[in-house]
Formats: sequence, structure tokens, C-alpha cells
Amino acid sequence: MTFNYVVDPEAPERAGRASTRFKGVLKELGVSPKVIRAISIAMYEGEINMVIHAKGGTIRCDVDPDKITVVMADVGPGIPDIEQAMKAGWSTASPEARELGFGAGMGLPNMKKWSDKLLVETELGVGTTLTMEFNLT
Amino acid sequence: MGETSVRLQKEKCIGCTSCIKRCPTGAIRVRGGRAHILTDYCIDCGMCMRICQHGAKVSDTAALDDILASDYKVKIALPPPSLYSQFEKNRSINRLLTALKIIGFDDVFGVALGAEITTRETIKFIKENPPDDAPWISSACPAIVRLIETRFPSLIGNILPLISPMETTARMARKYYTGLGYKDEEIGVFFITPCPAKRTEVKFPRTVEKSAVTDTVSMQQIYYKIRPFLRKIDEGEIQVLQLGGNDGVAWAHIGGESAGIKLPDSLAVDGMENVIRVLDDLENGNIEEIDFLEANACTGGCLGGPLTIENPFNAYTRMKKVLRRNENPVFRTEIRNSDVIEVPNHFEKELKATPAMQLSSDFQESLRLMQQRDELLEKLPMLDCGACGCPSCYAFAQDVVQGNLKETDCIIMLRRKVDDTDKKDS
Repeated sequence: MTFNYVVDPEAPERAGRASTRFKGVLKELGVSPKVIRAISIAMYEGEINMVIHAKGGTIRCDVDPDKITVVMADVGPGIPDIEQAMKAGWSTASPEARELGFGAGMGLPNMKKWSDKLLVETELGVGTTLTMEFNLT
Repeated sequence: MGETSVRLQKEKCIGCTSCIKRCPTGAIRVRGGRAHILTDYCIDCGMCMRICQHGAKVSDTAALDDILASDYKVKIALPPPSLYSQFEKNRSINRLLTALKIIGFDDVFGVALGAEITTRETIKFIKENPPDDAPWISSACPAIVRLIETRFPSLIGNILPLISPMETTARMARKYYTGLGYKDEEIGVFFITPCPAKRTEVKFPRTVEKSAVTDTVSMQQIYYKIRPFLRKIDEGEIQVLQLGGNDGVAWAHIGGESAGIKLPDSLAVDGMENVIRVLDDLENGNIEEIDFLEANACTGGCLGGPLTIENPFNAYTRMKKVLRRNENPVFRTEIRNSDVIEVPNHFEKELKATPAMQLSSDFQESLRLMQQRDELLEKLPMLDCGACGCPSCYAFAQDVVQGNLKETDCIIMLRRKVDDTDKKDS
């Protein structure tokens, strides 16, 4: 089963809604609390990233019997240096974003930490697609 | 399960949609013209009792007269500090406690003492077990514990494994009287409850084998019983009964518990909607820097419980006066300064998740039901009118796929069906 969400760049205060809604789906499906927590945290980070760095984007969540795949795609600036971005504390967030409490440089590292598999596909000036997998078994 | 304390008085319910709409966990349906509480979802927060204009929702608690007429050799009242906020004149705590003895209790153990001990134990526990990726969550509000068990199971491990001040104080009362030679079964301990959830904590304990509290009596009953005596008690008649100091008394209002624990990074939240929002954020990892979370289902904390009298804001203002007046308390030291106050206060049983949101216990079946539900949702009017007896179209769709309702129980779907049939006929 597939669930699609749109992250609206015009409403940054609504960032986090998609992860909260998908979390509700996972609870209804009876996914284990541990996995729910991991997905919520990782997906929330991704949603925030989409608002800070890109102009919103789309999220596609696929639920399979053995795993959950979350694909977060944006048409943003792309990540210039993935290796750097994977390091804890490294951030290119604007001063405005930092003022809002974002940009601690934990986005990608946290997503890597909480997912079982993370794939980053990025092209400068085109966008970034993050694919995260979470094992159910 | 049926282990809840809010009940419907059938003859008073007119089957309107007020309670189904406001229930924070979607635990009420109107069927056959009357409200029904789905006990698997109900967390005993008492919102429906506040909302119902017809007084159809009540809490199961014992009748005061039955308690006072019972056979226990010693009957002990356990007043929580929230009781002190209910009276219009700034009465001293010892005066209020004396009134409880005048109406027929043999002794009084104020729960503020248990709260003080819980505060002390919480400080110790958090020092020894610093929080990892999420804060420790207070276990004092049973409606919140129930909320976490049913809707936020991933946070169960964060609930502070300490028994409530009520339970701690009840254990002290029993310890004191067994020390005086009474048998345990001769001692009756009665908690004056501001809410149905505390009654559930006593009747269906989840963290102790058996509650040390015998039964609960509503704060409203006690209020009307002791009020006439308060003014009449002469200064000389006032007994020294107070056990707990301000660190415990302050638990009556939201923020009081965290203030006593004195951790710099704590968060206090009251009101179901707000608590749900904070727990959601915690689960998303969006609240990082706190060590302790105090969450109360009722606005204002316990002093705003559904079985209290006063509105919570007025009660809070009074509470501040009570605290000011209580800066130099006169204690019953024979108990306060004895080892009676040392009782076991850790959980005896681990809390278990009882997820209420799950569509089915089987994952594949849940997926199938969800697919059906979402397809049905596409067809529904999404007006959330409540005419079907469900709080929302979403809940209606869920009830249909689970086999509890038919599509045509929605009046708009029914209307469409009639229109379609008419068209075919003409």
C-alpha cells in the first residue's frame, strides 16, 4: 500500500504534518513501537530538510510485509558535498532557518542513524531524492 | 477490557453528538439513540462528563455514607492537595483536615506527604538514570499513562517507574495503623478523588499488584459534606493533622511537580489536546532538550479534575494563596518525622502497551482494512456531521470496514442511494 504526502514550502509551520500522519497509519497497522519511533524521527528530519533547504517536495511511503520504504523527493539546490552533509553538526542552513531552531546539522546523520538503509541521490540545481528503508522483521 | 470508571446513565442520555465530538480518543459512539463508551479506547479523562448537558456521564465512585457506615475498624481519608483549592475562604490546611474527621473519618493522611516523597524519589531516580533520547515522563496522572499505553506505546519505557503519591500515602497509612496493632483487613483507606481516572487506578491497578487504597469517593461529595463545618470549627478545635509541605501541596496544579523536582530542563503540559501534541512531538524526536515531562489530562492539573467543584483558574489562584499561607506549616511530626514515611515506591509490574489504534492484530488484515477504509473515505461527504453516531467520517469508515455499521448508516450515502434508485425508476 502506498501513501503520498506533499510538503508545502509556503507553510513551513506545517512541516511535520506528513510524519505525524504517517505515524498514525503505522499505529493503525500495528507496526512495532520501536520501528514507528525510528520512522517518525527520520521522516520528520527529512520533512524539515525539505522546508529549510528545498522548496518543499513530495513524500511517498510504501508499506510492504517485510519493510517500509520512504522516498522523499525535492526540486531543491541539491547537496554539494554529501560526505560533509553526513557529518554530525555540519549545516548549510541559512541564518533565518537557524533562528527558527533548525540547522543543527543533525538532519542526514539522524536519518542514517534511525533507518536501516539510506540512499541519497542528488544533482546540483536539480534536486535531491532520499530513500530510506526500515525493516519490519 | 471494561476497566474504566466513566459510566453512562442511560435514562439521561438523549443521543446527541456533544460527547462523541469532544472525546479526545474517539471512544464514544451513539447507537440506538444512546451513547456507548468503547472501553478499549476510553482513558477516563472525563471530558464527556464535562461536556454532557444532560448529566448522563458519571464516574463510578463509592457513596460517602456507605464508606462511613462500613465495618472497617479504622477509616482513613486520603485528601489530595487539590481539595485545598476548592474553598472560597483561605482556610488553613489543618482546619480542612479537621473537618474530614468531624464528618466521620477516624484519621486523615494528606496525599501531599506522598507527593513530597515521590518528588524526593524522582530526583534520586533521574540522577541515577539520566534520560537517554527522550525525557522521563511523570506517572502521576493515570489518564496520561493510559493515553501512552493506548496511543503512544513507543514512549512506555519513558514513564517514570514510581507509584503515585496516592498509593505511597495509602501505604504509609496502612503501615502506621498496622504498627498500632490493627490487621490490614481492618483498615479502610479512602481516596478523595478529583477524577474518574484515579478510581480506575485503584480498582484496576496496572503498576502494583493490589492498591493500598480501599475505595474512592468523589471530591464533590466531600465538598458539600465538609463545607458547612469549616466556618464553625473554633480555632481551639483544630487538630494538627498536616503531613505534607509545599513541595507536595504544589502537585495540585500543573507545574507544581516539576517545580519540586527542580530540574532545569523540564516541561509541564496540561489539557488533553496539548498533551497529545507534546507526545506527538516527542515521538517525532522534535523535543530534545528536556529531562522530565509532567503531563496532566486536566486543564490546570488535578485541581481542574472533572470531579472538582471550582473552575480550574479560580482554583489555581486560591492554590497560590494556600501555598503562601502554608510557608510555615504546623506538622503532625509523630508521623512526618518517623519511619512510617519509608515505604516501597517503585512499580511492581511493568506497564504494557495496549494499542487501541490498531485495525487488526494481523498486519496483512490491517493493511486490507485500511485499503477498504480509504476507498470508502473517498466516497464519504467528510462533513463530520455525527448523524451516524460516529465522531467523524473517518471513524465511520473504520466502523464500516470493521463490520459494525453499513454504508447506508450515513444519511448522505443513504440519500444518494435513494436518488440513484429514483433515477433508475424514472
